[in-house]
Order: sequence, then structure tokens, then C-alpha cells
Amino acid sequence: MHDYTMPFGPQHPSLKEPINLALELDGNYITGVKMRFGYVHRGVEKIFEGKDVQKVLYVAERVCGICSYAHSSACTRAMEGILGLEAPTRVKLLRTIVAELERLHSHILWAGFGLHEIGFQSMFMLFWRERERVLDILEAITGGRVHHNYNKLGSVRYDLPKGCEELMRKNIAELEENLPGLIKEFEKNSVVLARFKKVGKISRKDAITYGLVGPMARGSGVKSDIRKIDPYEAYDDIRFNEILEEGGDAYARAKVRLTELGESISIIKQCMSLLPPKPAEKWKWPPIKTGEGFGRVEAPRGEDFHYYEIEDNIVTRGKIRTPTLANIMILEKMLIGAEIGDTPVIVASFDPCIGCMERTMVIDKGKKNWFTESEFRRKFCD
Amino acid sequence: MNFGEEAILNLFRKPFTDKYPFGKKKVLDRFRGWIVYHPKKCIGCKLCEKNCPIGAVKFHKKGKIDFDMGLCMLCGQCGDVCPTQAITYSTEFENAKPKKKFTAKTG
Ligand code: SF4
Ligand code: SF4
Repeated sequence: MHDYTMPFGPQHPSLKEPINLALELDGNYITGVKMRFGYVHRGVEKIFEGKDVQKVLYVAERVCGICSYAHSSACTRAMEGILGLEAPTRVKLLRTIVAELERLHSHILWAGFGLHEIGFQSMFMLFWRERERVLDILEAITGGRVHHNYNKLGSVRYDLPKGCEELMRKNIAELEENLPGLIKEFEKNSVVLARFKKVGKISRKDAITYGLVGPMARGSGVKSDIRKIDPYEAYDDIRFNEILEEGGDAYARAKVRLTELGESISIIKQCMSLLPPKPAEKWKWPPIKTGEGFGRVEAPRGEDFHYYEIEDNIVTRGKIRTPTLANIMILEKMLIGAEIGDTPVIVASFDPCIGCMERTMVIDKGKKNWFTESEFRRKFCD
Repeated sequence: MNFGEEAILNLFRKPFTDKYPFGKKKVLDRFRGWIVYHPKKCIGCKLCEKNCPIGAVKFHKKGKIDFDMGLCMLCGQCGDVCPTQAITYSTEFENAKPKKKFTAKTG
């Protein structure tokens, strides 16, 4: 038996986005990992600079292609904080509905993706069939299936269209009918159990030390739901549970996500019953101010954090911390000691969003390919 | 859910997916597709150019505006700010075209 290093990615059937892991192997077991990122870095924070606040709202949404609305709401929260705007109740409820619909679609997408990883194609298709119903509602409300562009500062672009509430009721009833069966099958299927149980364990202590967020932390029993910790939009007025699991393995994280589906459906139904009858007013131009502020929201993958500095409504500095960026550092620890065949499942159990995560890039120049903070500032910031 | 049952039931169900190139999916009313520009309604206020987040709009003169549809991300801002609704969005979603056709439709 030889020791050797095996590249995993950037192009790999189990990776939807490019990362490169150099896996050092001892037989079938991983003894060391070198992670390499930077394939999809787009410099979004630089693009923000010099743009008007409302424009940044649209560009921020393009950070991610799955949890796009989460970025938009984090940006809205930050900007509204700076500008001193407060959205009316109906607008808050509408935003909550869209955010929860997005959580539904993202978690269902993950379920399909995780099952595809272990070769369970039929259930992958069945999950994604349900996802289509969610996307239809999103398209009806916002006009976009992926990028919604729904938020305006202090308002939303438009109210619910005619006939939308019937469509929502119909599709949500269908989801409520079909999802529990699928989730039950997921929980007891022997293939799923064999591949997900006891794989990629994270202890509660590690989850806290590494500062994990979202379902990654909640799968290890750490409370991390921003909707509970720091309520925003309409989450204050709505009853829902924070889902915690104790297992800490890929299966526990899957269970957190799947149980959250039911919670999201219940939140949407509560929001719909709370909607005040008077339609939301048309959006207005925001006031002009200078200041800095941050906004954080619970994206489907965890806490999404946006920071902005604005000068007369022109953004001079933006900074984003996406959930995957907070989570990714534990990947190395999880992989060491695991079997090589479990790598796709471990990576998938992150629900990784690499495009979101690429926040900085180090350019290899000659021999030196690292910077200290002061060098970095001198080179790129001043 | 029972997979055997589901498989047999699926034999008698209609396909869930669309028969795409042969039967087009009907998109909903609010869908933002390829931009349509109405030169007759335009009053030349330039708001669309000022408000495009990524500079996809180029204003030449009243009634003549270039939209770079290769750059446009269909955010809907130009249509929102236009005071005379001279910019609307069609429901056309098949947007892969040769580069020289990357201009807005005129309506
Ligand atoms: S839709 Fe948005 S990106 Fe496209 S031209 Fe209009 S403002 Fe610019
Ligand atoms: S915003 Fe409307 S009216 Fe003004 S220049 Fe653009 S298209 Fe013409």
C-alpha cells in the first residue's frame, strides 16, 4: 500500500462548484487535506464601491444563486438601519413569506443534491418535483425564479398579484401532502442511513470553537438561529421552533434541514393569515444619509452578515460574510481520518455555496504568495 | 411513501416536466424577460441610464437608447424608474442569441 496525494476537484462529478482538495491518503483513509479556493472569485465587494444604495441591493442579490434573497434582505437590513427606515407591517410579512419560500426551495434543493451524491436518483427527482411548486409561487410573487429583486428600501417592489393567494394555498397544500412521505422515506431508508450516519461528525465543542452557523451548528446542538437571536422582519410576531439535533453527523444535519421545511411552511401560513388587508404602498426614493451599519439574517445555510459604509447614499465600503465562509474551516478537520469514499457526502453535508464563499483571493507572485494584514492594507486598501 | 406504489402510479400519471422545445412553458405575468423599449413613449429623461446598477443602458438621444442585453441582469430597475413606462419586460426567456442581437426589442 502506498501513500499518495489525490486531487479532488476543481472539476469533479460530485462538486457543483469548483474547489480543489488535495487529499493525502494512507490506503483508503485521509491523513491530510490541502484546500485551495479562488476559482469563482468575482470581487463583488469591489463592485459595490461607488454605487448608489438601491443599486447595491440588486448587485448584492447576485452574490448567490440559491439564497439570493437572503443576501438582498441582509443588505436591506443594513441599509434600512443606516437610513433610519422602517418597513410597514404588510411589507415585513411579504418579505418573510419570500424568505421562507426561499428556505423551502434551498433545503429541498439540498435534499435532492445530497441524495444525488449517494446515487439515489429516484428520490432526488421526487424532491425536486416538489421544489418546482415553490419556484412557481416565487415567480408569481416576485417575477423571478432565482433572482427576485423584490426588496426596495423601506418597501417591496410590488404586492401580491391577483390570484396569488389561491396559487400559494394550492401549492402549499400539495407540498404538505407530499413532503412528509418523502422525509419519512429519507429517515428510514437503509441506503441513506448507511451513507449519512456517523459520517462527518462534529462535536458540540468543535461547533462552538469553529464558530459554525446554520444547520451545521444546529446539527451539533448549538443554538444559532438569527431569526430567534436577533429577530428581523416579522419573525418577532410568529411562532416557530428552532430545530436542534444532537447527532452532529451528516444525518443530523440533513434532519435539521428537512425538519425546517415543516417550520417554514407553518411560518408562511401564519404570515398569510396575518397579512393586513390594505395593500402595500408603492416604493419611494430613500432619504440621503451618511453612515455605517450592518445587517444579519438567517439564510438557508446560516448567518449571512453584510456590512456597509455609505456616504451620501453612495457605498464606499462593503463587506460580506456568507454562511459557507464561516463553516468551511472545519472541512479539513472533518476530512482527516475519514474514508475517501465519504468525501462527497461530507462536502455535501455542508450544503456548500462556493460562489458565495469566495471573498478574497491571494495572487501567487514569484515565491511569495501570502500577505500580512499590514502588507495587504498597503497593497490593496490604501 | 412506498417506492413500488409510486412507480406503478407514475405509469399512469402525466409527465410532471414540460415537453420543452415542443410545448412552451407558460411564464407568469410578472416574469421579467428580454427588455422591450418603446421609443414613442420616451421623454428623454435619462433616469434609466442613471439607475442601471451595471451600466447596461446607454442613452444617445430621446427615442434612441441602447440596452446591452449581454450585460443586463434583468433587475427591473430601469422599468421601475421610467416615468412614462417606456421600458417594459417581455415574457421571452430564450435569451441565448448571437452577440450582435443583444439589443432590446422595440415596441
Ligand atoms: S433591467 Fe436592470 S440591469 Fe437591465 S438594463 Fe434595466 S436597470 Fe440595467
Ligand atoms: S427613463 Fe424612460 S423616459 Fe426616461 S430616458 Fe429612459 S426610457 Fe426614456
